[in-house]
Amino acid sequence: MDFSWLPAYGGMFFEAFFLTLKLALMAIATGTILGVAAGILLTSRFRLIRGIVRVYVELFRGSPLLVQLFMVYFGLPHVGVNISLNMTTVLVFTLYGGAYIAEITRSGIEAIPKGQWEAAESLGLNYFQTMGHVIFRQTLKIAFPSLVGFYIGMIKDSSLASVIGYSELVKKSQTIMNMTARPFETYIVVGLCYFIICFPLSKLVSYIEKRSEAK
Amino acid sequence: MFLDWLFPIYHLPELLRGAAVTLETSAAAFLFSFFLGMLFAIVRFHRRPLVLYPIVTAFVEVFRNTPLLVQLFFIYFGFPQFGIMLSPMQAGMLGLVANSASYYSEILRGGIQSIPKGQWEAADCLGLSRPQVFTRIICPQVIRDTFPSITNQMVLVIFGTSVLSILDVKELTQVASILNSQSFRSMEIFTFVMLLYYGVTTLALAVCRFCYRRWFAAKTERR
Amino acid sequence: MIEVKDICKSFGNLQVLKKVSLTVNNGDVVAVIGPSGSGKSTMLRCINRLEVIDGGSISVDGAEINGNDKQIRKIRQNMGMVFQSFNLFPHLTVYDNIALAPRLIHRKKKEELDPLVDELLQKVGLRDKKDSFPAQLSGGQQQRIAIARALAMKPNYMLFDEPTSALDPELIGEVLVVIRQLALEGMTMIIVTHEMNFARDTADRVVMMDGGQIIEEGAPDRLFQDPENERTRAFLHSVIGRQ
Repeated sequence: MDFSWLPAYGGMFFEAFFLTLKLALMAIATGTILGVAAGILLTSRFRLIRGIVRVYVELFRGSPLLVQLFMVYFGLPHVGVNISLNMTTVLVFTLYGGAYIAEITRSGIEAIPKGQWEAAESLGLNYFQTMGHVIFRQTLKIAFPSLVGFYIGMIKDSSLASVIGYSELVKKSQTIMNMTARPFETYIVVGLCYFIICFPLSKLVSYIEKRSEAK
Repeated sequence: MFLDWLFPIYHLPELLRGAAVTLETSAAAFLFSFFLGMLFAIVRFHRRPLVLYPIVTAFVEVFRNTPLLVQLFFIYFGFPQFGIMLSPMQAGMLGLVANSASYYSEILRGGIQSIPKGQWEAADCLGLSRPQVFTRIICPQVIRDTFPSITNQMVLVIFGTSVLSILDVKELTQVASILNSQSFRSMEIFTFVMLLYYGVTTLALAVCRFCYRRWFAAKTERR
Repeated sequence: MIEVKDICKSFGNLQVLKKVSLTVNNGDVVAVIGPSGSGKSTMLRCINRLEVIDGGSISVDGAEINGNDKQIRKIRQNMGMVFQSFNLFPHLTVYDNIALAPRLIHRKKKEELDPLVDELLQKVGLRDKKDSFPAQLSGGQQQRIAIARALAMKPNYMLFDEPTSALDPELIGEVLVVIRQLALEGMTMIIVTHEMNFARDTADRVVMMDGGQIIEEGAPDRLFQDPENERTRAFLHSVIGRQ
């Protein structure tokens, strides 16, 4: 095993690593906005709204991320929509993340005992006030571990963007690998980059979970 | 702008062949990774054998905190550096099983930890041997308690096979990609394939629900 | 015969058993009473090695328990244990709960197991529950099944760790009836219990524990009527006064 090339290419790795983080954070942000909105809609009393959102959620949770990437990346130009690679990637991750976060949000909301709604209602609060002041804070607490767990998964999933040519860690590492002809060591370093982000975060999540259980 | 939604239907045989590869690979990967994960869970739960515990823990943490794609590339492109040449399917299966086993390890370990101590004690007091206690008493309850997580991970294994397409394994996604590059009917093909995956996973989950009801359902109604 | 000699046991800094000695001869029915934290359950759990003693020795049928796994298993196969929280196996029917150990250890076949399970269920009065699951039974029924399960291995000794403490009051009686019947049949038993009247009626000998030690031991009538030790007197007064 030979890591002597590392200092020379270290800078490139660093840059690429931040590209991955950038993509992940953007996808997390937009995905959460879409997902929370969709999750709330999934608890609506209007069957039509629930139905439409449900179709979206089932579709994007019931198929692999890679296929979704291909569909949007290759398919949109054929229907006349021409957007940059960047936007395509963020779009797909938003839809993908949104679907999963919608489910997490929905089950978080439904986990709140009916009594909370009833108490708020009997105080005279309307739907939006109840949601904002009573329900949502509790939902966040319940959903927090699943949510952060999913975010950690997003960081790993961002690696698939390399397949459609998006510049992030895995894509850049292929260039480095071709230059150094050392795939074994290259991918160890790549793996390490993901590891040093994901491992502490997942330990943090289990620590928080344990603490809230002990209460 | 003209979309021919019947296009995928014309190529149904190839697509179904790809789906068959997907199903076979998924089933094999699921079974292997489940049993391997169970072994890992036992080692991690008992923290014994003392020599294996740190190795298994390291393995599990590495494979849980790195992307599947990187793991596959590592195996398929990295191993040949040391003379180990694997076919795409071999490398793919190896990566998928290692990856999924690590997740199963944690799922099952959590399940074992939540079995009340009294169950272990009662079984021990009857004089059962350790393996008997584990297979007859603990294991069935663990599977019952963690069933949703088990099926969830199974779905992730099915989705994981799509990543194998990058190594040119001829499963469903790769068949679709090839069709796409030949015909450029991208929207139709990939939408159809998305629906196919959805159908496959729904079917798999229904089978799981059936198995659960038949073998593991908790009987709680008072007669 | 079970011989407990000067056993000591600590959990961390807390010493729970301070040189406890007890001899149980074949056919004896020993009731162990005392306040919470006196070490009664711990002592019982040391006898079948659910807890490991820090000092002293325990001998069963003349052989000292030395930590050998095979030996412990053999001892446990001859010593039934009934827990406060029943610990029935939820995923098995009543039949399977009872038949499991004889099937796996004694390698009994169905032809032998069916009459065995029937006889035991008859004994505890639950013959019609053979195919039920534990979750479908009341607490008293579950505990009686637990007793049947322990008896399935035909042990020479039975240990009861507060068998009725987790039961609703109206369900306690049915379990005590079964235990009493066992005693009348000559089973060697150690029962840790809070049911004073039961102890008085059923036991040959009552052992009073407090603060990790046996502070008094004797025939039930004598001990309940005229305790020698001050603490025994105080304990009995606070408990029986309320029963």
